[in-house]
Amino acid sequence: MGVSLVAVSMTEPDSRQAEKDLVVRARQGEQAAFEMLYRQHVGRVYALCLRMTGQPALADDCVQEAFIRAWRKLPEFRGQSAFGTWIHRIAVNQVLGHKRSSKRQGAHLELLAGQTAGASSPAPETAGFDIENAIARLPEGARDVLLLCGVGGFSHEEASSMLGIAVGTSKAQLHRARRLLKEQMDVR
Amino acid sequence: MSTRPENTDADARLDKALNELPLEILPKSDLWPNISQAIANGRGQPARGSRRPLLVRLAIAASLVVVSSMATSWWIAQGDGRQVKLAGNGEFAALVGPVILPASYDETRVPGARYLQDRAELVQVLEEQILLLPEETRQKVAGDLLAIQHALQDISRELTGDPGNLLLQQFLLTMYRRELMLLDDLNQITAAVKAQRTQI
Repeated sequence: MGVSLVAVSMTEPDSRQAEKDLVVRARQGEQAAFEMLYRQHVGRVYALCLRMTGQPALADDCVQEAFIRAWRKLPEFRGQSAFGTWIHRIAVNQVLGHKRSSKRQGAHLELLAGQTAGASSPAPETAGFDIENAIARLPEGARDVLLLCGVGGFSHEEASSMLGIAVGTSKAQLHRARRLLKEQMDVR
Repeated sequence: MSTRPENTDADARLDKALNELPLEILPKSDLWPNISQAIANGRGQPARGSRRPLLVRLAIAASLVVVSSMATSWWIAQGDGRQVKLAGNGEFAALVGPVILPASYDETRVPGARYLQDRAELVQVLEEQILLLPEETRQKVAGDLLAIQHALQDISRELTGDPGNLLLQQFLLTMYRRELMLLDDLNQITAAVKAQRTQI
């Protein structure tokens, strides 16, 4: 979509201001503005949901529900954080809610092989190491923190708040995730 | 991150692999049309293909009992034609009434505590939310609920004289199930109407 290209060509402060303007317009009920916000963020939000759930259909549901909830909660969004952080937080809540209600964790490894083929760049294989599948094999808690902090660039404070865990736990889980991934790399 | 010398190479390779992961992955199909539709409908949940438009669901809910089955129709035909408007002030709770169970009823078939709790919560919520529906629709809903109540009373009376009758027991359970479905549909519909009004 043109929206993403426009955002890329702007300087960062311009881009942030443009996003704030979109949020204001969306809060006033302008669906077109909300669609632009959706187009800007859906790729990152979907990537997170897909990697957290391992199930494309469930990731679809979580993303849809997250944006619908975001629309309904827009009047409460005061802009203390970036819209991107806020929508990620809502999406993570959706994923965690689904995980709590359905204990279907066994299907996680049906993951990404086909789905990342449609990504903007191919799934990386560093020296024969399939990082996507290695992440999918991580224990849930370690995986979630790694995806937020190690891949998504969120701070431990943000990740712990999204996941409902202590900052210390977030740090420990990231350390654990990295150790497990390195072990898998060494096996190769 | 570890800074131990023996881990430096592994850490660097891991960081490289993580940095190369695509940050964005697009869903296979565009999700916006569903999101847009759900927003337009004022619903709090995504619109999936199988979901029905609000007005269709409203019509289905209002006619749920009437068209459900031949057996139900027979019981409904016993109604007294009384008109209830459901105008608040506890009328809804009074119409739905308590769960009636014959003293001799087979305990294994008694509606469980979860059912009773769900039913009580729905009745409480609907006491107010039902007022969001047009009066004509409320009358229709009241007629359906009244018909269910008549059916429940009739079945219970019959069961008192014939407690081992499995068909009657099944009727009773079916009727309670239909009542709960109707209440649940009403709850979803009135909640959607409420959300729509809030957004406007």
